[in-house]
Amino acid sequence: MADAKRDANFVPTLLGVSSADGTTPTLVYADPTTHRLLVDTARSSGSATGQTGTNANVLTVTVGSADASYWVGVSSTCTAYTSGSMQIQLAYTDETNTARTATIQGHFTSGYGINISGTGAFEGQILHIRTKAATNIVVSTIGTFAMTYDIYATITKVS
Amino acid sequence: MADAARDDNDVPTLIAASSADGTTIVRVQVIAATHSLRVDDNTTGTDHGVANAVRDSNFVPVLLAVSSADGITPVEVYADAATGKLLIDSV
Repeated sequence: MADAKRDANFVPTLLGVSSADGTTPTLVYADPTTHRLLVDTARSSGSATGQTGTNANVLTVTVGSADASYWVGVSSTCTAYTSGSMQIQLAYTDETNTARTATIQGHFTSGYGINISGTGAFEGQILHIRTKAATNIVVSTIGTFAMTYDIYATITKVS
Repeated sequence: MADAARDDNDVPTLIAASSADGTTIVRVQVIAATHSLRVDDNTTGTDHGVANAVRDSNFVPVLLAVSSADGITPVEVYADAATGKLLIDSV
């Protein structure tokens, strides 16, 4: 249990209650440079750099106790390329409890598609999905290729 | 400078320090229909160096939180003086 800090006039800082037990007092933080209150939103992010093979778990998010909707965004940069093509895949379970996979389309160098097949940046299009409670949302990479790439993924709960 | 508004039991509403100067009192706004706090989620900002919580004319202090850098130092929480939105960082 943490006690509230105080300024020189004994004004206490914000205290919250721990989400783990609903009882334990917990200090609330702010960024000392920007003075912005730090908050936890329903946003998760994952990344992997210098990848040379497929990555089965760039980011995994577990849906809560109720069905929910999410936005999924990805981007990738191929920094060295020899051959083949790589795709970014989204796997989830929809609200009817049906497993789904979607290969994410995006803009790569000069056009739209699903394949990363050369050096350059892939800017993925945002997908909106409805998911079943207590299932996983997984972003991964697939394909047969010889390349080095970085990948970034963000999953945001929207309703 | 605005003072904190109060309910019938004299409980003050939230106030924060202005992000423009770290000193001016700003009433933090809530959307009446949803009771949601209005916030501005971004990562920019300036430290105006005010170490202690400023107070309105009724001595109600602005929001204080603890520095994320050391977990000890009290830090004023800022709001946008024009919009009344509390500044947050959710990244």
